Amino acid sequence: MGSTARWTAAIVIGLCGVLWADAQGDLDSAKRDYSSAKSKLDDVKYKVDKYLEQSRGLRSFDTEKLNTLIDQLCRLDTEPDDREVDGIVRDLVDKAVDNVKRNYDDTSRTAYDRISDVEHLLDQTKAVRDRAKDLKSQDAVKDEASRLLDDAQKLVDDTDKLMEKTQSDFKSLDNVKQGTMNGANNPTIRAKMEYGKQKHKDLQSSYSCDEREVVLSSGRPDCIKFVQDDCQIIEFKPDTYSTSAAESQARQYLDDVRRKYKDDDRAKKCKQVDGYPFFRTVGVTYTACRS
Amino acid sequence: MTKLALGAAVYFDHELAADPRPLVTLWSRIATQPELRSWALTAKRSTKPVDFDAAQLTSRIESGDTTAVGVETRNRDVTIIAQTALAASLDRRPPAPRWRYDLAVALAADRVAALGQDAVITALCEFASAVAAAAGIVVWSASLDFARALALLSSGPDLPRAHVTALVDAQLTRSHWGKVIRGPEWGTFLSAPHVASLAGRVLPVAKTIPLASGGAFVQLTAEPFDVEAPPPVLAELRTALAPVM
Repeated sequence: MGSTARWTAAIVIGLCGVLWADAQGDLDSAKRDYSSAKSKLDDVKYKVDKYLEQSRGLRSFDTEKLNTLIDQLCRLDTEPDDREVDGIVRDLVDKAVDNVKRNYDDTSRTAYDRISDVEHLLDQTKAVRDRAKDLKSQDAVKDEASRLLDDAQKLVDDTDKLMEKTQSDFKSLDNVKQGTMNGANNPTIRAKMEYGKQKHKDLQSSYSCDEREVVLSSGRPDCIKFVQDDCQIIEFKPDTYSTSAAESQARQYLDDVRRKYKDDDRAKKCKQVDGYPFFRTVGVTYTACRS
Repeated sequence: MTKLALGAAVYFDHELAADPRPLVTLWSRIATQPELRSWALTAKRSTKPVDFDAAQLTSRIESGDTTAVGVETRNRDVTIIAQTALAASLDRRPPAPRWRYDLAVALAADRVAALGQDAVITALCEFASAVAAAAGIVVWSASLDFARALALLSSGPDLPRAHVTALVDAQLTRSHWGKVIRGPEWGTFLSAPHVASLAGRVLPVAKTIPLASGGAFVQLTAEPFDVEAPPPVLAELRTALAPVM
């Protein structure tokens, strides 16, 4: 009896060992596939970025002409000259459409190749994710499998975003070929966008900002200044927005900025409150493009 | 009738996205002008001002995608700004303050006169009761911009140096409001624990308004005074409120 029990225990332990080894082996293999997919994503991303650069280059506007359009639409105190504006817009559109048509075949081939690359990668990342999901149900490896599942899901999300970006750009290219100029491809909209960007740059320079558009979890404050006892976070907005909205938005960054610059030497100039640098929050509005 | 502008701030933990009624009631009391506009901030962007529609703005707050909403006139002689983010989305790591949200109100002198000073204070107390205010203040200033800055704790770029200093100094205990009071000022909101800490003390104030939350609003003098020229009795109140400062 004693001997049977010992044998049974030995068999159970042996079986568990085999199952553990199987699960661990599967997990290791899934991890290898994850690493391979991750490095492939970097590679595909690089190729997509090259394609986007090429595609956007075809749709780009002549800088001098675009600046004239910005002057006409946004900078003049007087009403814009409609005939001149129409002429510039027509010229910018014609050149962009012509450029896209001449290079469309080559560029669209590259676009299809990139979309196909991303599709394959998406299949691969989803397969890794599904394997991690299955492994999560096995007790022996569930913790590690759970971490792998989180990582693999992020990879799927990143790949999805890359697909959206590539397809959306290809759609824009197609639209321009047909003469349809939407969003930033529309010279008038682009001129207003560029005007806003230029205004932000001018203000960041005139306010002597030490940091510009730093990426934080709460957003991207336009300007951070390290001034003796008066450090500041400044938000710039066109005056089509409320000044209070600019002031409130600047304030939303406060705790995040204080955390980020806690150990930054420049922040030693700021007033220190509770062991963190303190920043005054300021909202500034500028004259928006009037057209 | 006062010639001073009002600035008021209330700090609280009540999640307006889950229950916006205190804010809606406040709007109905003091956002009564026909020409009001509203805007909203979300985590990523802000909206351009549109004609104020209380029902629409309420539903936007309830959707949970706003972090702050503002109701104001074009020249900002009425400004009501409330933080409305979902509690779960707030980053509570230090140096985040003890309180989660705030309400900032600024009214020009003629707007206060039109509404009635008592009606404005009653509306603020009603809001403070409904959200169980942790702290807050009501101040008066000859400068509407300064009153608004003291309420919102943010400003435009052109505040005079003295106002900048006062604005920064006003925030030195910001993280601790709730545990301690903000102020004291002409009007000071006390939480229920503050009231309990002060039990038995006689405060040198003109008026005390009990709040349904167990807190109180103490009003130092019957008539408003400029925040930059406080009467000597403010120092007496500061001494009396020492246990909650």
